[in-house]
Amino acid sequence: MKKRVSIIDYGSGNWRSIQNSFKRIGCSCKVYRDERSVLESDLLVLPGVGAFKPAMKSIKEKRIDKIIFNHVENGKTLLGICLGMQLLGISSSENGETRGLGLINSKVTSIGDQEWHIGWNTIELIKKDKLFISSNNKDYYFNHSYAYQDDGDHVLSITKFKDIEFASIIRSKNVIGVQFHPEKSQDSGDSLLHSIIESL
Amino acid sequence: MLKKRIIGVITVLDGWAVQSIGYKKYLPIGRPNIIAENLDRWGVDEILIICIDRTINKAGPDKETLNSLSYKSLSTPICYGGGISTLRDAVSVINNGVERLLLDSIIEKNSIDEIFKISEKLGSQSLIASLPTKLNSGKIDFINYKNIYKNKDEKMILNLLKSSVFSEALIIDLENEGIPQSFNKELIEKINIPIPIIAFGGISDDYQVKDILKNKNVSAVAIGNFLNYKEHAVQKIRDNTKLNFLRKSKYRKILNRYKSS
Repeated sequence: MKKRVSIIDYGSGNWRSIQNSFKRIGCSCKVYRDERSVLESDLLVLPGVGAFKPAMKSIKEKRIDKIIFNHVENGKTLLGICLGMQLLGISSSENGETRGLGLINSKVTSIGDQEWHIGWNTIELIKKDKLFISSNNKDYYFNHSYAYQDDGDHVLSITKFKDIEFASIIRSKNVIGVQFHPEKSQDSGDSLLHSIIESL
Repeated sequence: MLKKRIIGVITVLDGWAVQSIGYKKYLPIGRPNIIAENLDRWGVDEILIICIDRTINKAGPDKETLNSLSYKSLSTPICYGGGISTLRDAVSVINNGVERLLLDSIIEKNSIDEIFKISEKLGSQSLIASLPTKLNSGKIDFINYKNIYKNKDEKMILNLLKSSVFSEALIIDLENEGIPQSFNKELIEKINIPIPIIAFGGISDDYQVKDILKNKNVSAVAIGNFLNYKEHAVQKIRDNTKLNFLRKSKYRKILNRYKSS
């Protein structure tokens, strides 16, 4: 049976890149237009290019948070990408403290003053997870200046940048977050998305 | 380790990819989406599309080029510059499958509020400042590329770069752009800005890439037509420079290898 994927468009996400990446691996997906399209989905993707505060405001205004919570409560998989991963947390300090969706018990903080982590970097698995074994020590494309700290049971992999380490993959049951952009990480990214689809 | 990047640049004029020589003379070389597809297949670290006529003609972002790129389903990060003058323009470009924006003529006194709005909405990690430069008696001049004269708002530009609205600056060697092996290294040695530099203009060979990337303030080199007309040029640069802070050469596997799920 074909897996059904929906991507949430909350106003500033790069949903088209993600749609294209699923197309590349032979999986069709819908962009969130109404609640029904999400209810029918096996995988819901929360994308992200942008800042935390306006993204969270848009999610609340469009009542997308309720849809996300229902999807997770129904035991279906949620994948947050980059900012989408950060939105899963308790809060972020980007442009002032803002509450997140609270699905991951951790806070998002700056990786440093005038510091941006942009480009290709390696992920190091610190916990065994069948889904991500083949991603260990591979390079993925990152583009962010805030991140989860590397503590907590939900942290599956870390990435090192200068003298800091941050969480690059997190997972709490059916809620998954990746700080990098699998949709723009060439073969490594396509392979990871394919693994997620196969696991559904 | 965060790797330094090799960025493939596609200069677009009136919907066509062109070879630019100092932004004065242009030769058409093909459709931008076809060149982008090649760069994607060859594994460049990012692709930068610069639509040079959009800002001067006040035509807004080149939606046709962006749409044609989107249909190609590229798996390489895309940066786009040209015609972005408002927050609305910026959001529309991101929604077209672009990761990062190169802002050019908007970097002027009466547009500062708009730049801050874009940075607040999309995050500074998404924004690159485009800074055409020239060396003038040992000093660096920022050039306003609308009229190719020295930009009088130098102090404003430096303050803007200090204010964390941009995450990187594209330092363009305006005099040597399009001329092989000619990038003036003094530009990146003498410039004093608080954000990482992407060097562009006249970079064509392995030894230059190696030399430029060894500068600790440089995060990437951007290479235009020199990458496009030689197959696998990016792989050769990676192999020949042997720099441990570049991604290793990788030849792509067969496309469409996944079964439908």
